[in-house]
Amino acid sequence: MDPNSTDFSVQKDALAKELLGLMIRALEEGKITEDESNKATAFIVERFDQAQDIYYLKTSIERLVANWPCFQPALLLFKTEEAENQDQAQLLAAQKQLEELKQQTI
Amino acid sequence: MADTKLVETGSAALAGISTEAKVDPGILNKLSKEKRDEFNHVAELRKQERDGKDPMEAFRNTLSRTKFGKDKIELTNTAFGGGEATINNGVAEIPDTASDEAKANFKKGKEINEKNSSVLTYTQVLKEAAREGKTVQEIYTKPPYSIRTTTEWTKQRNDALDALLKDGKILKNFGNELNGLSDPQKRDYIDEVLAKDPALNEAIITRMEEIKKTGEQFKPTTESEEKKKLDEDKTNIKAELDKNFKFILNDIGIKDATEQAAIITSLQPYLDAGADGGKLQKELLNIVLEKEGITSTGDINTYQDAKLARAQTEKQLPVLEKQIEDLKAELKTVGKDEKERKRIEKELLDKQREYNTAGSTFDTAGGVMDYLKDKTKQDDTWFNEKSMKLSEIRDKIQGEIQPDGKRSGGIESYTENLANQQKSLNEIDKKITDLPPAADADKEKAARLAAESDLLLQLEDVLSDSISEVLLKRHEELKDLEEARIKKAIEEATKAGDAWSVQALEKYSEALKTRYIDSTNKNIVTHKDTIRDDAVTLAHDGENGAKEIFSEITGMEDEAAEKDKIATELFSPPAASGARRVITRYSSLTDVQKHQADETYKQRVEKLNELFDKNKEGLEATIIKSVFAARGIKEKLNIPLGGGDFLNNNEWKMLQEKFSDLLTKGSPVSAEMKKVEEELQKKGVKLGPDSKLKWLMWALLGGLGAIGLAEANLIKKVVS
Repeated sequence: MDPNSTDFSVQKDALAKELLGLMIRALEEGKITEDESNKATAFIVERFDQAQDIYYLKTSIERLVANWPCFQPALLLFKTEEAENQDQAQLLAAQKQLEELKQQTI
Repeated sequence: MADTKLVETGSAALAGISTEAKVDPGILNKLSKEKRDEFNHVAELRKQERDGKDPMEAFRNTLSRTKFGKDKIELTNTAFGGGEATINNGVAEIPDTASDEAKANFKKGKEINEKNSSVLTYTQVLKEAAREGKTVQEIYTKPPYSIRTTTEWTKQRNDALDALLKDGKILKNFGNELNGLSDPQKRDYIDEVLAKDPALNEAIITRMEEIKKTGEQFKPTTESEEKKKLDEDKTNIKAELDKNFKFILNDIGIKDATEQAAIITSLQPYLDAGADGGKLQKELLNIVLEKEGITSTGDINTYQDAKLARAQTEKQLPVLEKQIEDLKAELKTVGKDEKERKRIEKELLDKQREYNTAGSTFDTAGGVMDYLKDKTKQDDTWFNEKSMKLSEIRDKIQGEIQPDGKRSGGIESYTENLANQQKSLNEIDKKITDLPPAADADKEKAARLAAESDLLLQLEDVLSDSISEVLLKRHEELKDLEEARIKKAIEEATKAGDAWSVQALEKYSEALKTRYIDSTNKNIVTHKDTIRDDAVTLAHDGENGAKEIFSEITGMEDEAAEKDKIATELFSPPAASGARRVITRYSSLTDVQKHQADETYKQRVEKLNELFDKNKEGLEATIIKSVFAARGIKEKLNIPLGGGDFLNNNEWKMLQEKFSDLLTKGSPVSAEMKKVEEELQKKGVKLGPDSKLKWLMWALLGGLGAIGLAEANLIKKVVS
């Protein structure tokens, strides 16, 4: 399984595996009770069944984290990608400004 | 295919999770049941993880075990009853000795739980059938349900749906909207739009688990040792007294339990009043005689005495007659012996007197007997029978008459015992009353009962709160769906270097999360005024209203203000660190600059229109669903839909007319709505185009359609 894949079903699988690991860890460390984990499980199953794209999955995990912070590390999977995107956008904006300046100078 | 990718770092790797569970089994035995369950839960998840199973499968397996069965319901029942309720043969019970308040709490808890349990069972069966891909019949015929016939299942269904429909707080949400339907139609509606949603079952279970846990944490009530000892003594003596009572009654031939109970009840006031053994014996005699219909013992005694006298005199008279005749004959032959004559004459006179007295007694006794028969309107047989019975009862209770004329061998010693035992009970009661107030124990008991009352309120609200949760959950799904769409748009705008759109979309995204019902953390905040204001704007101004709201959210000002803003953005020099940027007015610009600002403004308006077109349906749906969701959160709000201080009937009507397209727009929603509507139509439930029930259905079917879950479709398949 390649977590860098852009194939949605592979991404979904990677996330589910991540969440399962986090849930086990949270239960072992007493950060979440069995009842709470059942509630979180119901949420995960429902949202994963509904999800048609990675954006909905991300929003769903943000909501999951809002209710059960023990899943916070799962957001790291998205954060770095977001940062890359932001860098890319900043680079594009800088290039655009540079282009404009060049034209003004000419 | 989405551009967004997941990064390589996995939290499992980050956290260094061990994949092997190594626990000494001996430790397990020392853990509480709850901890053991948790351990088993983790161990099972671990096993599934280790086996490399599909993680979603592992989640699903856990989920299908989430139940709240009869055992848990009974355990929850013991939370009520002042700490005196216990489970006996799998059923919660409360002893008779519990206080009235404790009994009342227990009874109420049990009644509510019966209702909750019926909804839980029904929704549980539907959920399991869906999750396991089986028919409902395959589930309900097997343990723990073991429902044998379809008739029984139909009753289970009707009871569950009626429990939902008859809950006052639920009616507040659906009330008037449901009034136009027949009872079976109401059930079908609730079934289709709510009960079949697994989220309802999950919500009920969560609440019931919470209540069970709170109940388990209640402190057991304690009593002072002295009071406990006195109560024990009292119970023992009372048991002895009851035993004694029964022994006495059995001994005198009264063996029927009902008769015994009636006699004990009649005698109790004398016991309570402190009667001694003799008095109790006398009163018991009276009670037993009365039971036998012997109310005039005096008459019977007199009759018996008269009868005896008559019988005795009847025997005596011929003897006397003979003696008189003999004396008369002797007198004739006595001769001249004067002394002997006088003796015979005197004896004759005495016998004559005796004869007269006996004759008189004989006559009087007969007269008395006749008088008594006449008085009581009874005959000789009756008097004879009753006399015999009276003697028999007296012999048993007072003992038989001995040669000395006194009765002996009765039950006085036993009644004396009764009197003594009652005296001991009275003394214990006095001691209990005189005990110094057991402040701590009393306080504990009162605190527990008060806590139980609070928990009962929570228990009463389980169903209505669960529906509110489902409404809120569906509202959140819609918001998250919108949020996901906006995320994608932001990503695209970022790539295109469109900073203004990115900013506007970020503001819109933030507004969706927090402007109406802020559920970004566990403490949900409902902004009632904003929901009302925006809903009223939509009602009055339709799509223009929505655009007005969208502009406000994205920070777009009116033309003049926006152009001033642009003038500053384009032509004010950058502010020094910490200083405010100098404001440049549009009016102060040169014509060339004005032209540039105009162009920028034009581009922004175009972008705003473009963004609005892409987002208007989501915004409109979010506002209207907020109305329903906020209305469902009854602790925080009590908002009548169409009436009251939220939306008046006219505003609601306008809103319905202007946005009826929402009911059919959006493919997942419309597809799910269509399915449910078809299902209802098959059952004869037709919803008009403006029906509020249709809007409620839309609100409950959520952002992706009732659940949008594959399992929801499965439910429909297996149920229909």
